[in-house]
Amino acid sequence: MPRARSRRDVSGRKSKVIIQIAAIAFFLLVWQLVTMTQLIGLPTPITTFEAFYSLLITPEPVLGRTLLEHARASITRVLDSALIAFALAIPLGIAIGWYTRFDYFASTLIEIFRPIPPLALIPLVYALFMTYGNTVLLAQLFIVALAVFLPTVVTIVEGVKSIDPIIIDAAKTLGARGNQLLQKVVFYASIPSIFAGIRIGLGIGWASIVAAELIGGSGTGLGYFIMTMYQVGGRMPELISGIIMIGIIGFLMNEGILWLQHRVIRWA
Amino acid sequence: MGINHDGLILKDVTKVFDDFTAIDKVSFTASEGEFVCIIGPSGCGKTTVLRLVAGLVAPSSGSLSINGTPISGPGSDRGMIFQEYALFPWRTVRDNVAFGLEIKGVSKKARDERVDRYLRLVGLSEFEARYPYELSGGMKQRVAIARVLANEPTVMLADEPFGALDVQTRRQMQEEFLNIWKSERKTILFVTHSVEEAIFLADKIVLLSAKARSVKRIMSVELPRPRERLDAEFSALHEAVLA
Repeated sequence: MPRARSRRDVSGRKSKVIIQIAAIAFFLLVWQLVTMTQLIGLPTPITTFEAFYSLLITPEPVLGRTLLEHARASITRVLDSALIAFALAIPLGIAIGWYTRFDYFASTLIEIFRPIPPLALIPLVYALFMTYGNTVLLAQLFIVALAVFLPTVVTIVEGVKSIDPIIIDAAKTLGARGNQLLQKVVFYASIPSIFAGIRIGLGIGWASIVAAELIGGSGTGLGYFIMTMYQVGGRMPELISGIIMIGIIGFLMNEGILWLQHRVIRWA
Repeated sequence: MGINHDGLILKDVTKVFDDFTAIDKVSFTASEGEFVCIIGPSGCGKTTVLRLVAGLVAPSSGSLSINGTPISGPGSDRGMIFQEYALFPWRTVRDNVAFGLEIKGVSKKARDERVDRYLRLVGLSEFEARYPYELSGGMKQRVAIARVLANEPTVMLADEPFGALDVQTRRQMQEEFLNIWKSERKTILFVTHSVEEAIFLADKIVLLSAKARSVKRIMSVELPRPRERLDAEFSALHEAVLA
């Protein structure tokens, strides 16, 4: 039985890669066709990728940095914020999901804050951190941490609530009580939803850091790069290169978490 | 109280959920080492009786006790086997069986010895490193049985444990379960909706009625073991239970 399963997995993975390549080829083809109609001022894929490639290794003259340097600035910010957010969201999510009274309390607050787009808080947060030397960075970290925290905690709470009650009953009849139940059963049973929460949170965090960089006097970062390329006269190949970089990094982050999840969860 | 404090005693046990009466004044006993089957149609409260004895739910009225001690919550002296196996998917076979001993704080060495013993008893020693998803239904239920036995409970509760298995595996598991019971001498409370299974296994059958939500009849099964399903006496008893 396990052997048949792994064989199917291998051929499944091969066809998955082929289909993924086909999807990208399809996108590039549509892009090329749109540029050929000349209805909008879109550069061709070739022009764009030439710019993308040279931006990877040579600094862009206006800001004096390569695209990779901007990417690293954004990634560092989002990971710093995300780590803070996860450190809070994982224990809180488990506690909220497990203790009904705490759920009533915390979920009320979470559901009030959740509909507010974190980006709507940017002006407020900038104003709040005005007196600090590094206002922009602090505000960005705060907004991204909030953007990551809320969906992550909600996903974990739902995961804990959907643990099969029979597993809990089994643990109780084997003698597990209170904290033992939490540490030896609820925590492990929540690991799949913790990964789901991390994946969703990181995706949303990545989207928000780029948006947060668009606004502030950030100096570095992919969002700031895109905005600058627009402001210096709509330099399309550079601008689109920044956007492609955002997409690639977002995709790789997601794949990275999935890879880690596969390593950790060996039991399914 | 009464004179006899031995074994498991249920006296006028009633359980009401909101406004729904799951069981109404159920009384029966299981003496030490006795194999008791609870049978009855779906929805007669069989599972509720087990959950009460396990201490997973509290009775609305009436009393439950083991060797004179009232049941007031779940405890490792009453192990439970579930139809859905209820294994911990993130633990290997070995670590599933070790769970209760870990909880009790038994030393690694003593734990390993006991786990080895019960893995051998259920014939799963060579599968100890597997995860539950890699096992068949029958093997999963063996793990669940070893997991309960490792805790060395006085009472084993089984909630239709073989209900999800095919007929062949089911019969094999019944035989093995009887052998384990003979060697370990636990008191067993075994819920099933199969009259045949109950007659094959039990010393005593408690028949619950769906209408009254209470004990309809208690019958002892005097047939010598190993029992043959095709025996005339077996069939006669089968008819008697259904009557």
